[in-house]
Amino acid sequence: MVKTRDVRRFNSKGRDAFVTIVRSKPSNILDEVDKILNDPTLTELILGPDGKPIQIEVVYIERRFELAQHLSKWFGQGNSLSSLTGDTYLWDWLSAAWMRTLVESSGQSLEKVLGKQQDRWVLSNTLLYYHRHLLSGPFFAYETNLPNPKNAMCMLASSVIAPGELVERVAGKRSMSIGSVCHLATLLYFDPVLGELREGHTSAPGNPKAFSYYFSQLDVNVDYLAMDVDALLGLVPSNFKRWVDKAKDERAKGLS
Amino acid sequence: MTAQSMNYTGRIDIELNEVSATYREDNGKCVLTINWLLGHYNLNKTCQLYLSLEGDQTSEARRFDLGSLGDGQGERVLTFAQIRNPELVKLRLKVVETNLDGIPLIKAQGDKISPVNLNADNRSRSFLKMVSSPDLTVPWRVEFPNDEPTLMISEREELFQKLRNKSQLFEPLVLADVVRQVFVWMATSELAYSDEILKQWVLFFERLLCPQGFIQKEHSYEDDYEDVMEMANVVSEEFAKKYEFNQSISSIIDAEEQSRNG
Repeated sequence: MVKTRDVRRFNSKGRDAFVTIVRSKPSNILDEVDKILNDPTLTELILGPDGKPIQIEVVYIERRFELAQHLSKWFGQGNSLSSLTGDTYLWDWLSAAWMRTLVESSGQSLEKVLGKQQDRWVLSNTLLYYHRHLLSGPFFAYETNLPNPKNAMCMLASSVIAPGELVERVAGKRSMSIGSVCHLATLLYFDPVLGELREGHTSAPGNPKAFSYYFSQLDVNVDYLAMDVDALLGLVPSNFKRWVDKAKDERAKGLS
Repeated sequence: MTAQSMNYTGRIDIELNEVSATYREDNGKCVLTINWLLGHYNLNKTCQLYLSLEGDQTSEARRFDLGSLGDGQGERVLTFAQIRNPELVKLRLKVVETNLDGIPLIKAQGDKISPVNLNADNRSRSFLKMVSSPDLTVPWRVEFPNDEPTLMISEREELFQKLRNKSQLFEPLVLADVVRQVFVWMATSELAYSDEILKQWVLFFERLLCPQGFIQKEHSYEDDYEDVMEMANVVSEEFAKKYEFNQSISSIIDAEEQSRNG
């Protein structure tokens, strides 16, 4: 179901009201959020250069990649909202606008979709958590890896409502969420044939936690961002072998 | 415990006074100037310099190739259209040399460099950063972005401008507790104490009766809570005494009363 909405942003009171709702999680949370979405005392309309409201399609999209693609139609370079990518009040309004759709269409329980952390819905100020936002997280992962966003499938292949450990490990460190090292994580943990993350990718050895630790150590002495992905593939230690072999095989077959 | 990283190639840590970075806001753009003086390290002239910048609230991590090291001295001016909170930007300058195996080794680096705001007054150059926060619903809070103590002040109702620039009461009222909170955080967290900003904090605490090595000693929040809190109170009280906060507050209130009474 697609719902077209005029894009608004919270003002500070609206943002406070949204934070309170997300924190208190009332049983009628979806109705409570709907009530504040268009409240002119809590939100303001965003107008395009022609003075007319900008409209956005609020639609259920299961995977982070397609959601990011969808959001790019507005936030991508040169598009109507591209100058507002840093507007936290806009991102929070968007997550509020998407909340009902995500809950009602995902087939998951309200509790699961809402999650425990408010950072899923309220864009965090803290660099450590900002990537957890369900809407802006996929978009930034996509945008920062243009023109090759598929190199970032490690951060984009999972579902919008359950991003998973790999996203947390890669997106949680900026130096890992861009360029060749992000591409490397995709080669290791994403199956290009099935179009999904490899089965068992979170189990040791060579899991995302080990990946994150390895590159944190490497970062002390090696400027790995300057290396291409094939050089990095040859550099990772033997505990990643089961993934490296698959990745090399797929590269040789032109699958990735 | 988190894993400790080892500097196994002997990478040089560039001193804070060898790299300077400033920024100014110009027509809505942020103009960043970075200077470096690295000639005395005798690094190979063909090494490449890279600057990375992190900090605003998008996931953008920007990286700039500043060219070859040459004689080790240089300056670059970079202009950015969108940086939401430049006070929180951190820079990392890397001097990189590719070895015979094709591995780009970091020969030297300066990390967590905070550019100085040329538009602000001298207070912003102290090692306690004061930053406006549009989302803060309390007047102020101490936070530790990128392991740097930062006094966040709410931007709501223009509070940041009013408290930081207009209120004489604000600093004497809050700074002693800010110092106490920073002390507790530093004494109970696993931190890189060699970081320039944290080094300054350690020296600051040691000048306020904190024994040398106390901060760096491994404390657990549970087991050493009382010791840490006690020392935090000592430091905070010595700080308040040194700057006579109580007297200042009293005098400011008296002066306000007098001016109200004509």
